[in-house]
Amino acid sequence: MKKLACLMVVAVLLVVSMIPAFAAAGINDYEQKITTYIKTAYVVDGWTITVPGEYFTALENVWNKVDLTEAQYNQIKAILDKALAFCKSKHLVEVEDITKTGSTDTLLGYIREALAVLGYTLSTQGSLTDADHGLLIIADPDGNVVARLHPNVVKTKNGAVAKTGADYTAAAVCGVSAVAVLAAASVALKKFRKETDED
Amino acid sequence: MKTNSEKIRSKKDYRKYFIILPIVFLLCGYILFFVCLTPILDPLISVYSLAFSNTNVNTIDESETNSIFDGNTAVHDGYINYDEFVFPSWGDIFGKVTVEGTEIDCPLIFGDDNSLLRRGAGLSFFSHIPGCGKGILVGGHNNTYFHTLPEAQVGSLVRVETNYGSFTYRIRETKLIDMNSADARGQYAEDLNGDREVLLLYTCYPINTMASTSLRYFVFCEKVSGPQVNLYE
Repeated sequence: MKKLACLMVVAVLLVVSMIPAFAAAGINDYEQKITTYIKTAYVVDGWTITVPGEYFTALENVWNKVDLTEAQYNQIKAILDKALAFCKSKHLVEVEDITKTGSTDTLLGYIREALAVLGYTLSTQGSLTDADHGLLIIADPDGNVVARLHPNVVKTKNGAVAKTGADYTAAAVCGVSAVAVLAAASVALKKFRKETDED
Repeated sequence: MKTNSEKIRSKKDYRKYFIILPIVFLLCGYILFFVCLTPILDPLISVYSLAFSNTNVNTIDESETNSIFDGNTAVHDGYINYDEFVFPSWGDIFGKVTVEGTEIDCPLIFGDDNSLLRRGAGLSFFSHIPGCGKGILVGGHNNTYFHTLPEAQVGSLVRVETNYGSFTYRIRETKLIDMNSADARGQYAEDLNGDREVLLLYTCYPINTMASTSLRYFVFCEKVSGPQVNLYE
């Protein structure tokens, strides 16, 4: 199966993986339980839907900054259960299914709810369908940004590789603008001359 | 004597040539100037800020980064437990990267969004830190920190100093990957998610391009030396 990454699982993973640091900590039992849940819980038509290995690496990076308690584990697990039920009800199997079924806001809601367990917030910037410029921004209880993720992390094709070229295509925009101005000017001039000649 | 239709046409022409077109040209011209001048004005604004701002000089370019790296730790081997070092937070400078045979000698930052990549090489949040025995993915801009990455030769050494240990890797191979191709991820996923410690350095390609590109120049490196890190309680 291609693109098995379920958006819900990815989204919740993203959210949970953005939970920032309370204290230096290793990966404890509760944190490993959450990881196992995300790896194995989503089964549709006999297929276990999961995400690429790098997402679990991200999760481990988070667990090294967080010391999840049993109470927090139970709360987050309950939210994951709700999100999972939602995904199953919508039969979300591929990433594209999220937008097709209009499930984005609901999933972001679950993410916010999970983050709130630890006092963190999620905001978005730009369009999440814009892989280069759209952003998911996670902030800690003091409002400090702890991660800015471009939504292309949910694309299994490119995985974790970022855009390391120019920040924007200055040359291309410049060229297009210049051509647009010149084209408009020449058309207008030509028409103006023609009408002047006719007069 | 002008007819009514000629008068109406003349009025429309007046609107077109003296109102609409000037506005269109003004907007297009403004965009053109903005795009052309931004690369020139940005450094000037930075210099102005440096010269006339009351802000501490050291914080101007480092507003989103916090360094937990203060030089060579001289820890080249052994075993480090999770509670014996500070695990980096998003945006922390936690080390530096040098590549033999190139001019690469830059800060290593935890995270790789656009703002962080302006300050050094970024370690992907979706990869491990050095020492875990797993894949490590580090990217840098082709027009700044990783400009000379294609000059790195197979067999050359890559040194990664971190706040908890010193690591050395040897370049195994280089590869150009088109991220738009169907098998792009397959060309690096095994090294990134496998059970061997492989350092993957990458940058956009062609190296001098200013425009967006789907090509990435990858350098794959095998671990030569460095301590082992345990992250599990």
